[in-house]
Amino acid sequence: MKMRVFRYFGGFLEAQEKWLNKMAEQGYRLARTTSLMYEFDLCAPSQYEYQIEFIADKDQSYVRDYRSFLEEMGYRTFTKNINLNFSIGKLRWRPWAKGTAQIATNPGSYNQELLIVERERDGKLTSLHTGQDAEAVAVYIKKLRNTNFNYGLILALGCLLSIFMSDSKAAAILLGALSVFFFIQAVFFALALRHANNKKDKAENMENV
Amino acid sequence: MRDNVRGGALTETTFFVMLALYRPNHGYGIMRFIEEKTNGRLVLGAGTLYGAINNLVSKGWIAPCGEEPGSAKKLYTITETGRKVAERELERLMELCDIAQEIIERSGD
Repeated sequence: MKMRVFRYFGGFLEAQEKWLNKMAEQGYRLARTTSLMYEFDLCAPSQYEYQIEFIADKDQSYVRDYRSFLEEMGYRTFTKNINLNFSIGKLRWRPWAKGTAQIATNPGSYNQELLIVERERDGKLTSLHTGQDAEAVAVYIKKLRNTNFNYGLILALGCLLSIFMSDSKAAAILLGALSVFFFIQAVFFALALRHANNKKDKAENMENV
Repeated sequence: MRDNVRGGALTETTFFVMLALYRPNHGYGIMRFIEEKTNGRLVLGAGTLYGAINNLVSKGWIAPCGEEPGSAKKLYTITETGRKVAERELERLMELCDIAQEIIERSGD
């Protein structure tokens, strides 16, 4: 039996990890992920545990090799996005571009910014790393916040222009809706950035002790 | 993973990974080796171990040596250079132990 849950955590990595572990405690094991959906299989309660690793700063061949290393260890791995965007696989829709340039391909590990690692819970609580690279996460989320804010701004301008320059209500509504979407994302990432920065500061304080 | 070598000394993780590879071994085997030898005191995270292995391969102290028959798990083994580094580390640690023993035992009198 499969269960599908729609959930989006964006830049809140820990919240996502906690949630997956809670699901596992209740007997749900991750089977598949898409950008907004998690699919679960049934399993024994607390049979598995999950950890999330930030891999957006690594190149594709590193990620491929690292994943096969982890699978050799008997772990299962899934990739997950941080950002929400109009992309199918490696293809991306760029609404502001002209003609065929509206379709672009994505470089590197696009849409695979996180690695979800599943392993059997054996009572030994070892983390994958001695410490996550909190700074890399913060830098990345900041970039997302800025990009989303810029998209929102451009689309808002486009919306205003289409209100004043043309009679097409549909265009104005579409651009307005897209603009709101990106602004909401920007706020979401701004909050996540604050969280990430706090975590980074905490990690730095720990190191200084 | 940060530096393997600080002031000529190897980190504990590095030295243990090298010792685990005096016979060909795979990632999981290295992890088990370290866990057993230290009675569970030192348990490496998979990510840390992955970093350590890659680091040592790029230094040329260990090298991949094919796959385990049947499981296709990547095997690694220590190189000649690696052996020399390990021997030097052993000498350094013995010297350190001698000095420590001398001082600590004398202070007990």
